[in-house]
Amino acid sequence: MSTTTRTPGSLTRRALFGTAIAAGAAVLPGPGVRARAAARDRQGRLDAAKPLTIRQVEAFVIRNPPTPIAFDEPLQLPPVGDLTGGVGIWNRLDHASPTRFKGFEQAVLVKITTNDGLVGWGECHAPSSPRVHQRVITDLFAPILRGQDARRINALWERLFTTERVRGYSTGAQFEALAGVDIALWDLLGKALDLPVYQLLGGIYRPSQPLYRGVGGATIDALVADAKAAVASGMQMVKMGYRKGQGSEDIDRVMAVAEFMKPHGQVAVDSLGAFKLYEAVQVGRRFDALGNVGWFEDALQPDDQPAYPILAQSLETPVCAGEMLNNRFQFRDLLSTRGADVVNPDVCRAGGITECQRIAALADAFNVSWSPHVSTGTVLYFAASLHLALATPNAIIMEGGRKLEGPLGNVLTRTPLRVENGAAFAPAGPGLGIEWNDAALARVTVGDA
Amino acid sequence: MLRRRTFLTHAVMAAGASLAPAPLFAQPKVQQAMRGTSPLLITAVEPIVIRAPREAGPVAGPVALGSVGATTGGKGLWNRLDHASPSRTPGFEQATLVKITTDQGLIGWGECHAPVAPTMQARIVADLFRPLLIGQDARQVEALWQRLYQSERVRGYSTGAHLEAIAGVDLALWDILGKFANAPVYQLLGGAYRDTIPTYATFSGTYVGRDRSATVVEDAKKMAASGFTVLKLALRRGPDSDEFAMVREISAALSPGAQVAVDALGAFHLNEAVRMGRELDRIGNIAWFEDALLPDDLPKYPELARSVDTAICAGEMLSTRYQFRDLLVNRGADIVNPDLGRAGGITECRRIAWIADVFGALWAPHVSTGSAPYMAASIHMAVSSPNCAMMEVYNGNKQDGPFGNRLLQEPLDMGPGYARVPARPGLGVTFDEKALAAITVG
Repeated sequence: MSTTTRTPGSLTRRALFGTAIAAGAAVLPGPGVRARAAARDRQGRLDAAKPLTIRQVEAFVIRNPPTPIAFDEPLQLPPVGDLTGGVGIWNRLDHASPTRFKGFEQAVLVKITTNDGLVGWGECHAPSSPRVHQRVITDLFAPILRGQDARRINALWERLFTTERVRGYSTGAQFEALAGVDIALWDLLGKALDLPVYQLLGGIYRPSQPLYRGVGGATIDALVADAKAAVASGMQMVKMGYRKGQGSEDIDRVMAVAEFMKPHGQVAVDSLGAFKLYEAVQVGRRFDALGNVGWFEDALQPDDQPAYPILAQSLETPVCAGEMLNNRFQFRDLLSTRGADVVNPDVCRAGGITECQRIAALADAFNVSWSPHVSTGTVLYFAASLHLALATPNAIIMEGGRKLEGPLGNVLTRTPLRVENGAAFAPAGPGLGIEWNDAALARVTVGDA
Repeated sequence: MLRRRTFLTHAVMAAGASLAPAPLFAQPKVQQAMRGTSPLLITAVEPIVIRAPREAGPVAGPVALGSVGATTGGKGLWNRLDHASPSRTPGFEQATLVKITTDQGLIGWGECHAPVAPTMQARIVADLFRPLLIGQDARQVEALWQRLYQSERVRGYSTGAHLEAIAGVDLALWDILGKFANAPVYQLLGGAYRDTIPTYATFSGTYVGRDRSATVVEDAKKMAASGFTVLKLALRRGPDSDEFAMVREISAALSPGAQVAVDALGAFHLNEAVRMGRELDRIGNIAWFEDALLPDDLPKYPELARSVDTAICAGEMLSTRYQFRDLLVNRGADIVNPDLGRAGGITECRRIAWIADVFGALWAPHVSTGSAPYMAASIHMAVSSPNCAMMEVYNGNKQDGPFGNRLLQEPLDMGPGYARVPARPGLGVTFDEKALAAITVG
């Protein structure tokens, strides 16, 4: 197997500076600062008249373990016609199991470089087929972005949406790719202005954002032990899956975690679209009885959105949806019909910071809280979600409580994010505040086998 | 004794085949050898990007789009951000074909509608769908559709290149199923209501804003005289625009019975769409008012449909039955025009046609840039559906173009105002491998 690993940051001027700086004192400005000088005057002010012209748009597949993508790669999905395995009419076609790359974490990083050498980084949520997002970025978006002023984030977002808007591309890899570009533009703007992204968004509501994480375990004891560990790290909510019909997965598991969490907070339950409406109502009423189910997430499929208001009206437990939605219009339809009490858009899926800022504002107008969905991805994904969460009034809690400890987390950056007592602090550096550890990033950047 | 009725029959038969009622469709011979034994395993799934220069016009860069912040250029409030001009690939026709091979030698051809960046659909087919399809029984078309949709369903992939890629695979699977059964696809869909479907001609956007001369009106009259009863024009600008003037001129020039359909490509806000719709009501011979609103403005369609007498059409921008459900349950359209190469293929468009039927709505396949599998699939669906009104063709007889009959061993029979369903097994498309290779890229 050949190792055609590409290194996004290496063999460039930037990497040379990085090496020099790494050898020097820690207080020296990072490589981005040197590059930034080109766009600034002697007083360090941005030359507002000078556009930040986009020279290059690149997309890199990130993968851990870092194996190049082979042509004959297996992709996991339950067999054709797989059933839920429930009892009686609960045993029906299973819709709730998407494709998985078992054993791999994958993402796409977007790198935008200006004529002045300024670089912005973004990320697409792309757990299953990252080369699709790569194609959207390099073949559709890059030709439109090259030569444009990177500071016109709103207008560029609109341009990229317009590319396929009237062809109906409002979801999927198109929006995840758009998210990656958008986040890179915000990072770039922050670096150009020497300000953290949260500051550009209007400043922070709170110094740190409470986190939650998923808990699991083969046995109830192991599950509760995991919840105990999360609480010990300062978290006040944990999340667990409950996906199949009654009888096939034990409701006792939810009850045990809810019982344990009672003095500490809540357990949220995620069903990944497993249920039909009547099933969701039946399951939800059991959660009602527990009293401290934080929310009941993705009880229904995204294409069953019109059923959400009925579910929300039927239950006391807050109904949460949003990780499966991609744009403000979908959230408008969910929120205007009072279909959710909490929404959890994914910043690296639902169109990036620009779109999720609007979604958060829309939720706020309906007096609904939001919580960034943070799943497979790198520390940059976490950082982008955090910047937006801190800058919005109604961000209640954020997912990804153990993401920074993982192989795509803080290990990839020279500016690790700080988590204390179950809450994440805003990165203080310009832009998203991520300065890659180039060697570590190169290790997980893969090409084709 | 020869009774008059019998006599007449004999006389007609003797008079020649032209007067004899031909069998509606020639039933192909069943070749048991082709059927093989169960199952029919998928051994290869290949996306093939095809690209050819258009007949006219210069070859330009890969992706073209209006400038950042481009406005519509209308007067006063009509001059606002232009949403209705998508990315284009000037000078080229492009598509992504899907070739599926089975262990018994049967090969199916499908096609994704992919006019701008066909490598996206190709990558989805190669990276995501291929591993899910290899080794599966190709005849389980419904379950395989479900499998592909499920691959990213809970990640919310319900539109765009993802569904176009599903469409490409789905068409290829129906082609295989037809070849396996030795029957045309329309037969598998329950049989045909008619052997041809009326087609309407969409005037290329190249006319609009560029040539307001009398030749456009003359072209329209010629096209109508050649057999098209409906001509479709772009109408993306306000009531004082050149575009609207052309709609008036052409509708006035057409003989009685002929109609003009107008396509706004999502150009209008609701108030504008109502205003435009009422202007169209006054013209009278408007077949329908298409895509007046953007697809993300779907909840407003019912109000538009209630406000305007002209038939409201939407659907080329939508994917999956769920979006059509939301449109139709609220009576947001009188006609829907799903695209076989976009909305999820034959499997999904059949469901969409049924949903339209239960709401008393007509449907008309949207057919834009593309080649034979896309055309043929649209025809098979159209003739076997009770509520299909007509089918689109772009600038007259589509089969004259670089993606047309020159790629085929046996031509598709598409003339002015009609398309005939192929009676051959499957989709009835056999590519001339050399001609296809000549326009295959990457």
